[in-house]
Amino acid sequence: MSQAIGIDLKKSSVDALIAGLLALILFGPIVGVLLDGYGFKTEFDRVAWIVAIVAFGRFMLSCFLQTEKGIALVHRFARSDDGAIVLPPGHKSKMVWVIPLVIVIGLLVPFIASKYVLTVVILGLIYVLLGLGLNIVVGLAGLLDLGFVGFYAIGAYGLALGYENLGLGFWSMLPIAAIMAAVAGAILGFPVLRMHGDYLAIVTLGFGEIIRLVLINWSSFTHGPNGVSAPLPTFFGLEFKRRSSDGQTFHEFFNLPYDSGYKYMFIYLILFLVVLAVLFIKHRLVKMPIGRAWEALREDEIACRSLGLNHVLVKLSAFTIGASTGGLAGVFFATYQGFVNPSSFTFFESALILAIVVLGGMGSTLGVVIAAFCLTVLPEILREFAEYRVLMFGILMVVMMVWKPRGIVRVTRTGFASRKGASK
Amino acid sequence: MSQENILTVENLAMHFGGIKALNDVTFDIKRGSVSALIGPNGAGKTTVFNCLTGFYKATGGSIMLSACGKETSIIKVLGEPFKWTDFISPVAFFGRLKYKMFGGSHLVNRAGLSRTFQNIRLFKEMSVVENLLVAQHTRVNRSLIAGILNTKAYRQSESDALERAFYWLGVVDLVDSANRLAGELSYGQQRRLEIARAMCTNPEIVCLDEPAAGLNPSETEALTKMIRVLRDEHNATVLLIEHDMGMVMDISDYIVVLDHGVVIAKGGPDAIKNDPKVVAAYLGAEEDEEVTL
Repeated sequence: MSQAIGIDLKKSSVDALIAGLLALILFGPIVGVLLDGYGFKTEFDRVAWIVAIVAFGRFMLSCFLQTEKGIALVHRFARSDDGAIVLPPGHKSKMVWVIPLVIVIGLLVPFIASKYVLTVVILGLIYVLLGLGLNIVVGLAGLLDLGFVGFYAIGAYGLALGYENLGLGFWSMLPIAAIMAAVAGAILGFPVLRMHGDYLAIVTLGFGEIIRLVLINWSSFTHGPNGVSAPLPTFFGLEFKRRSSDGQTFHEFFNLPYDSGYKYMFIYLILFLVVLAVLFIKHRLVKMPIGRAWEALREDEIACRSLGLNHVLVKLSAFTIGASTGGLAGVFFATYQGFVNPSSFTFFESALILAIVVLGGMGSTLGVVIAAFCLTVLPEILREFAEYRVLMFGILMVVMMVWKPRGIVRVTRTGFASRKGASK
Repeated sequence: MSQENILTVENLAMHFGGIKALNDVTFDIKRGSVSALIGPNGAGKTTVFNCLTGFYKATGGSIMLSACGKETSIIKVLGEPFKWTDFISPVAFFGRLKYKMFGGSHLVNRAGLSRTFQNIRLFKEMSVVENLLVAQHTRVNRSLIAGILNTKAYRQSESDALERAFYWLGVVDLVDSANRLAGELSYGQQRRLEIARAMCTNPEIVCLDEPAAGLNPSETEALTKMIRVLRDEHNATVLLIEHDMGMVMDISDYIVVLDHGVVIAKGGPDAIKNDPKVVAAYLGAEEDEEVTL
């Protein structure tokens, strides 16, 4: 490190000093002051370590960014204005082999992974479903929806209450819950779709809270905060319990020893197939007239109306299709937990789903899948740092918004081969 | 169609609170003509356009569009307030309720009138071809199931839509930019794309709001040629707002001059050029100078 390469040590030292001071201000009270009964202890050595690490790290980073490699890196990240790109006509991705590979691995996971890993992956897939649903509403149609968790709750409570009151099992509730959530989406949608942007966000936020408050307070029907138990799926009528009051159970029928892991394997396999189906439908929808209409609506509503598109119906279709996907996710959540109560459907969940969509890239399917796994699986891996989870979440969001404001995966658009053209 | 006039505007009034933007505007547009709406700044030209295309609900008067084989009242399809007679006749009640709930400016477009905007409104993050495909939304196969299963009928309808899109790209000379994002195009190209997009909805009358604004002289000349093509080869009636008098006088068959929300003159280009009222409106007249016809 000499002046010859162009490293300005003074600048790096100043950077390090500023970063150290900021770390001192931030971590001083959090880490340095430890409550002890009614008094408190001060732990200067811990603060000193953290500040020293931050300052040293900033110094090294500053030096690195002044080298040739560092400058190139900064240039790569500085091109933040990377909008959508249009692929050349007839473009074939070189990554097509990934899809069958992922499907094969996905189908093998339940037989390889431990029960704990399997439950984490199930949770990840549930959030993939939620993210895909919200991606239609926010990413494609551009309607900021802060109450998406309401549809999730409708799906989950639909399964639990449908079983309790009407005796409907998982298989019958799966489509019914999707339809119920879609109807709820339409009911919410019709009066509010004349507004957009911030106003729509506030109304949908209210909708999510209404659903949660109804679940808490209508205790004669929903059992309030105590929650309701939800049924497990059955394998052609065979239950996954240790013993069944009516008929045989799964392990008795196949002469297997009882293992609570079977039910997770089964839930996982159904969920995996549903996610694949939703991914396929989403992939088709984007290329269909309705998908184009959603994106056009996001770009310019007035122009859409001038072209004969009924903007109310287009918005409503986005809302209902997005909501039905949320309802499906709710059914899987309820059956996976075996129990639902209103505390699972707070505003934080809505914010998390929105974060998945924003991190993944508005309108990008692949991005949403990656982001959903990042945001649900990472917290599980980092269980030891559970206290700092929300802090890390915040840092991740800030870093992403600074470097990649358009999301992890860049949106690509299909190109069309030139044709001769006919007027009618 | 037997009728000679494609658009009949009678006693059109538009008030924004106490501001009377339009008072008693009356004019007819002949089928197959190129007509222009001119006037000084703030005369109410764009307000007339917004009333015609259904973006404003006119306060009074009537606008009748006779296209696609039927007569459409543009004010009615936007949804009118209920009158007491509606509560006696259920037919009138449900008719009005239908337009109140599902009516809107999209019905004006479906009745055969399309428009462009003064400040270009393209779908900037979508490709040029996709812009034209969105415009054909009402003409393609929109069935969800057919689309998801990618049936033969669906592929045929998409392929037809692409053919039409490329045809119009050819007309506005944008075939080479077909797979670029609309927002990346140059200003002149965006203007042309917007006209192509309006024509993709298969209108009988197309309203162009300042199509030549910001174009250089050679681009304006190309635009003039294109407007003639629209009229001669596609049986489209063209109504345009324009400030470039050279272009207006060159292509218009009929000119309507607005000032302060009133029609002050209408007629052929030669008559308008020599009309003292028009000259006074554009150049101003002395206070005491009596302008008479």
